[in-house]
Amino acid sequence: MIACGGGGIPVLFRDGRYRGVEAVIDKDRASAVLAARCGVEVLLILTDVEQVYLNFNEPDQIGIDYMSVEEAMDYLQEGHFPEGSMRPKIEAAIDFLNLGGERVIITSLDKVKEAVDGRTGTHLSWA
Amino acid sequence: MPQRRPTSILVAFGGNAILKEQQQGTAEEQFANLDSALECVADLIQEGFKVIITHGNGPQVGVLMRQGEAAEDLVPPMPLDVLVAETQGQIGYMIQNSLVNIFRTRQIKRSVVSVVTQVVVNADDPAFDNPSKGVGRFYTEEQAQARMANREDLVMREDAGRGWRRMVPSPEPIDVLEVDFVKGAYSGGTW
Repeated sequence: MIACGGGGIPVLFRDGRYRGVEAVIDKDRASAVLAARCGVEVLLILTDVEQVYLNFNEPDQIGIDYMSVEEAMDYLQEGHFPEGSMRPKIEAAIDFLNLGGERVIITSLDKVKEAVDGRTGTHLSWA
Repeated sequence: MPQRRPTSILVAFGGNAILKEQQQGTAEEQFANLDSALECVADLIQEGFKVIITHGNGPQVGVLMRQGEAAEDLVPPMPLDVLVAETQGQIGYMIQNSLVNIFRTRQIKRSVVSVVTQVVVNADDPAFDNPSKGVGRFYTEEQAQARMANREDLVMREDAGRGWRRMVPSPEPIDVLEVDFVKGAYSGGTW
């Protein structure tokens, strides 16, 4: 089942009907809403990097194996994740968990199997 | 403590699963990228997961905008919501075709369908007052000013030192209009 391509077609309810609007929805955030509304347990967000990093591209860069929602929100506030790249993915992860999702995994395309088995990627959940 | 193994997963593919940055953007390139990117979906299904796939469309929607602009004296350009719908069909087809062939090779009995999906946003979303997401190609400042002079609703701005680009709002998703269908179909486990 393939859905919500490109973040979905944005529509507004106005004057008694839904109408398309000239906007784009972040595809990871739309994925979070869709996954939660369908009762999906795991949201797997694929990106260019194997893990989410603190101090990304700095000499002291460090990969995150696991983040709780609270930790993720702290890191966001500390400005660890750049706008337009990792930030919306972390926001989507938090959205999904807030909407009742169980687990989020962020990893790269070539590490899906290892990440789903818990051997790599960055995993997020409530506890 | 061992965790219970989950049985359902939504895989959100980034744009680079479909088209790499240095590539031209031919259909062949996109099919070839998907042929390798989608093997992991077959792995997940063979491990017993029910899978929903979502995908990006940045490069593809940029191409459609460019085609619309190039032909704007011949046929009316389509608005962005219609272009997103076009890419859902285009990329959805490519994923279906690639995945159906992977399933066939692995003898997985499963249909693959794409759902044209409308996502509800809120008219009061502050994003509508601050178009912040760059879409489409880059222009020189003169080209951008000329385009904006022709179209009152067009917002173009200098984007990260790479040139001028159209900026559109990126509102928060509130709901998915086709969610009942998606949920019913995927949870049956045959789609």
